[in-house]
Amino acid sequence: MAVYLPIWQIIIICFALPAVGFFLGVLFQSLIRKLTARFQGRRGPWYIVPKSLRPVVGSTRILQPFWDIMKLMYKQTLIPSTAQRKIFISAPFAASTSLIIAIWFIPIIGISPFGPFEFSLIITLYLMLIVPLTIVASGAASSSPWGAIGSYREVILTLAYEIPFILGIFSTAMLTGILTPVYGGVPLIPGSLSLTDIVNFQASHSISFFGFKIPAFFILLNPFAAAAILMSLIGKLKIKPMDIPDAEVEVIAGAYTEYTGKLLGVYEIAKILLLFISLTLFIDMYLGGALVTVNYLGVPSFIWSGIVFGVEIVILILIISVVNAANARFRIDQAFTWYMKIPLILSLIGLVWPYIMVSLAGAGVSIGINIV
Amino acid sequence: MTDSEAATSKVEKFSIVDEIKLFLKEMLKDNYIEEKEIQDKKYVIRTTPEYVKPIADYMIRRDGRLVHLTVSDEGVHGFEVQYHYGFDHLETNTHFIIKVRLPRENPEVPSIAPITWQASWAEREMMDLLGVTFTDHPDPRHLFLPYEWPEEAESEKIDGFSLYTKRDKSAYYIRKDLGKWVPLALSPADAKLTLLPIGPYHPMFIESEYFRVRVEGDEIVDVDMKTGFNHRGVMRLAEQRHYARIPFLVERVCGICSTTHATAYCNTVEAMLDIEIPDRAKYIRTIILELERLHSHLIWLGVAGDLIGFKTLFMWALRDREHVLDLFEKLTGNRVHHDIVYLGGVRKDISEAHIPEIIRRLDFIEDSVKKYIDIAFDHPVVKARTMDIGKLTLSTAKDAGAVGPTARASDWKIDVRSSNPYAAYSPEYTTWDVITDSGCDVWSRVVVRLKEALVSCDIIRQSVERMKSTSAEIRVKPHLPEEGAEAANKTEAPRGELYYYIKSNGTNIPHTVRIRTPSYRNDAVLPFMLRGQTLSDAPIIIGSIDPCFSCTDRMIRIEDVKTNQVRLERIGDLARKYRRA
Amino acid sequence: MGLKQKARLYSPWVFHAHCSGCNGCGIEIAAALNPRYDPERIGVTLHNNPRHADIMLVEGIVAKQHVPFLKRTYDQMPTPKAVVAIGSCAITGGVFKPDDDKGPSYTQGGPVDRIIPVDVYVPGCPPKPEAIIDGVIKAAIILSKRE
Repeated sequence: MAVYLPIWQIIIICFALPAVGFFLGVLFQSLIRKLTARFQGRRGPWYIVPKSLRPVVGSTRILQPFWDIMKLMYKQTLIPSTAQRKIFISAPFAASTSLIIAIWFIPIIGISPFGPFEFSLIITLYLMLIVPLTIVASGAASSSPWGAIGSYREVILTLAYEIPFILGIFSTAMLTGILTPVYGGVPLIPGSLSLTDIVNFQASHSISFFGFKIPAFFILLNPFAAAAILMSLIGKLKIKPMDIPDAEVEVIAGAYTEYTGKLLGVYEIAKILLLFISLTLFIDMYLGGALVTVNYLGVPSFIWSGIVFGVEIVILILIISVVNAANARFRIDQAFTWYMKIPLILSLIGLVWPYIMVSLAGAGVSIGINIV
Repeated sequence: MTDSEAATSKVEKFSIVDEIKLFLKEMLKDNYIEEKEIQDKKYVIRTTPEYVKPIADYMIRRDGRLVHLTVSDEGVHGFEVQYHYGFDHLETNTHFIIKVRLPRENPEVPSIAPITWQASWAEREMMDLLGVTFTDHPDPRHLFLPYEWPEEAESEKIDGFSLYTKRDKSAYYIRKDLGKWVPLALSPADAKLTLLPIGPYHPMFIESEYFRVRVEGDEIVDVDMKTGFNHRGVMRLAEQRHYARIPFLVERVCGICSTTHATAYCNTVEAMLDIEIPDRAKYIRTIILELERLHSHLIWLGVAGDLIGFKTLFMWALRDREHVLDLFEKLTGNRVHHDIVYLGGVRKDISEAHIPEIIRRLDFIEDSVKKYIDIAFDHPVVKARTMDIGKLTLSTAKDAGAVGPTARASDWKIDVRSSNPYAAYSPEYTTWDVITDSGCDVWSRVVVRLKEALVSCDIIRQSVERMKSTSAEIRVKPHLPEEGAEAANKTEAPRGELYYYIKSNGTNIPHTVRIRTPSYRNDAVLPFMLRGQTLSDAPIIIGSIDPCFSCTDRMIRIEDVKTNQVRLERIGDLARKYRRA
Repeated sequence: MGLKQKARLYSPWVFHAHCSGCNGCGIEIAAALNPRYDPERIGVTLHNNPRHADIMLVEGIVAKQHVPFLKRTYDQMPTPKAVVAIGSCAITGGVFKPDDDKGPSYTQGGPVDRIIPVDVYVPGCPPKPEAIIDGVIKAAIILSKRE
């Protein structure tokens, strides 16, 4: 349930949350690398280094992405003489800052420093959209032809995945408003655009799914939108079939080609924060925000929430890694067509699905789902 | 086959060599200076320079392939220009080597590049290396000498222009503009077009190569390729070394297909000495050559997977390739440069104890290759990225002279192993089929290579089985060749036809060594595939010919299509027009 | 060991520069990335962009035409950087050196260390993947001690 915290606690959380998010993001990234490597038949970053090698290479590489970023932070930063300096330098900071702010508005296991902030969903989406904008800007400003082509691809890909993403998000947000009056239960705010409300709705309701009583996860109530969102996230995170803007073989590193040292490190931080935010957003929207309100077995509820959060994240990362390992890269026009075909149609179905459910319930037809 | 068919084919077989000889005699009359058969069905005919163009015209019209064109330095006798025409795709082993002598001062010979595209690169190479002028060459630019080559100043004196500003504006342009590429400073006319430097270091290639690609949006309009970054002067070095030391040098022409280079060299020298190697050595050569083809096709599959972003395929292919390398290490002692093929046979025997392991590893590789064939047939993204891309039609392939799997994927059944049998490939030793595919695109090149890998496994099995019944002799002793002895021979490298020509001067050092690698030909075909494709497809199209720039060291250029400056691309059309006229 | 040294030692990003070699070393570098050797266990990843790389692996005799490009690529790498010369050709010229000791072949721009400073030499024709990975780790140790 939403709580309004005193101001000093809010300030502490404002500083602590991005750090926690970064740390968790590093772990997620490391897990993705490890799992992808395992699917490819490799070992991936060592989690336990053999004893004989420890003096040279350290005892663990769980935090491999963190070491990569630290290494970049201690490197020389070169700025091409032909680059437009201001945009070139400020773009990575703009990306990281917008994502740090976005973390404040996303409830992580129900914790959000601003409480049930009214339009937190809109704010988060907007801040997440800043990242591709900065990538486009930095690619154009770097005055490298590879950067220009990377920007051009980023624009097209963003256009492609953003439409099903937005449609999917809003069709899910509508669920809070539409379903409650029909299926009973306590009517909340009609069609709330607050992430906290969405999380709380899922935590406070439960559904009987063919006789089983489970929490009211929106992934069950609107699976089409959830699938569309997951497909869009693959483009947002540049997972394998959609890693077109920074395809190594085709455009070297796309918009990042001319970035070195600290600026590249800041971009890497942004990537890790984006991974964390995207996964957390998906969990908030569709998997009940990993919020457990009951102290099962005498263990405090927030520990349960943490465990549930971990399990859900691992499942999501497993899906992402399989997709990453099992696919070749699309061409940009093929990616656009694909997004216009499958995720867009899924999200459109997701958009009308709540109304279909309502009318079915109104007509007395049972589809096996009941909100309790 | 009925009797009449057999009779006609017999007549046909009889007629090819004889018909050509008859025609040449008729045409040249008094200028038919000399004729000799250097090996089985390989004829040397000497004539005078003014007849090279009609001969080339006739040979190409008669479906011959210009296998190679080269010049040999004969000291006080001047230069000897040699045109190697191959008819082995029509009749086994048939080759004609047309030779003309040029004076040492001001050596000039008419260019045959307007007749066949296949001569273009070779003539430019010889203009670079030996200074022979091929008059009326449509594109007489430097081929693979570095920009800093000292001749630049000399030619400036002669022509009033610098060599590169006159002959090769673009090469000069590349160098001048390399450092300062500013997209926003483009003129409005050029703003639509983007120039992209690709290379010399680019993830697209393992080796270094410099491409300049002009793209409009995402579409490739213009490709400019500067090679020669890998020019190591192997042919020159070989002419300074003892016969016995050259196998180790030519193996280092390419690290992926090293044994096939050594085999081609040894075959050529053995043909020159007229010695027959023992059967066991033939089988051992075949086993190593086919293992090499396996590992080459596997690494190609991996790299092609990487080029379309399929990292998992790259990792899997390289993992399975390790099994081949293990076999190499066990059989020859080395992972990459095997150094097992040697003059007169092989240096090391394959013992009985190794055979079970060979069979075991082959089974594993065969299973995984079958898995990759399934991936090629079923994976939607792989199919989307490879099908209908980089089309090379059969007629273009023939005109431009594609070889190897690239040609076979365009449904052209040429394979040196069947048309010009060496080692243990002839039917009395092993039986196998040439794989072709009619798709003409990148996907069929993938499938052809994968199926060839299966054929390789089959050939190795047969060789291992039949090797058991041979005598233990693995090598005969070579001797020094006579003065003036010459030989030409070829092998089927994993990338296609590899051609060697060696001439002796009676000492222990060869007088002339000429190498024509398969990628030399296939790189020349690249522009036909690249034009009109998108930039995203460029890597896999370039990769689909399995380019080995280490082997090639040459250069190619197509002019801008959209501004009517097309020259080189239409060589094939020109040739056709010329033939009709 | 401070954070700086540790970070540099733990995350060596590698760039492969093919300078007129025969490809043998190139495919052994590719083989060093494969599942059997997998250098990502210790954080070594291949980056095909000199701007992102810490360690450059150079292979081959450097042909004269290649010299300016190699220098340029070296300059594009941000400091600190290290160079590993892989294979006999990169170290001495190897089999492509003429026999008569009259200096290098007519296209050879010299061994790598005449053009750019080399930190680690990995001999062999070609060196085995284990040796290449060992060379990279040694270069990373050198790198971590740089300013």
